[in-house]
Amino acid sequence: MATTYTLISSNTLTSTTASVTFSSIPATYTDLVLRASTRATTGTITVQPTITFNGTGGTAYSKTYLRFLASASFETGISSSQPNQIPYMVNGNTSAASTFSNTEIYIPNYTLTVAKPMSFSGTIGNNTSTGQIDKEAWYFSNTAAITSITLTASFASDSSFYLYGIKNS
Amino acid sequence: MSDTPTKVVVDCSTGVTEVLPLTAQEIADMETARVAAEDQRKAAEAEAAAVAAAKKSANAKLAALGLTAEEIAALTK
Repeated sequence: MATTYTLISSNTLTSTTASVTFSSIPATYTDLVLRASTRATTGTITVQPTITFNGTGGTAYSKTYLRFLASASFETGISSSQPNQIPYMVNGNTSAASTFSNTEIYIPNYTLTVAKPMSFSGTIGNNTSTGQIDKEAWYFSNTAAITSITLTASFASDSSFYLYGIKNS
Repeated sequence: MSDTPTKVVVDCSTGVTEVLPLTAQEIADMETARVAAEDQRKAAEAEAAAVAAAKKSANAKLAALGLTAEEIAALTK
């Protein structure tokens, strides 16, 4: 791990929680990395939480995704002008018991006043014996510096969230 | 009566974490977002299923024309 990789804040849920927000994110880093180990209490095998930056609504969000499914098939697509948030995938209520998805969201240059491309990588429990890989390119067209991140789902207890800052020097 | 959903807010400037009840508006917004995300997921799955069905149908028609499985596979690589 790079020496400039600094934990800003973290949280591990002790009960089912509807959303997790990291607010007042300091502008002292170059990039942000959000890592999470999560499971939702709703849905079936997979559930789509959503992510929002700065509480921004409208159609500021879009994404391109590539998924490799447990059925050994691919799924690709482009979702333009997402309303109010970006959906992604995690383990849902009927995925294998006590399994949690791992998620990494990389946000480069989060303090610059330009539109922001970012990446998402996730591994999801697709059934009881195999997993699913999800790789996505996200685009946040709002030019404000990112100061808060909100993830929304019915997250299960023991889901954990870690926000890191990375400096370029 | 069900419990009011809660949210966790981590203030990165102070390190203080608060657990707060959702407002009625936040609950309504969350449900709207959940429905929109679920609709999108179902649409993507339906599109993928339609593509798979079209591919299967096309392969069957190629086979009916006399192409071998290897020849059909070569066409789609």
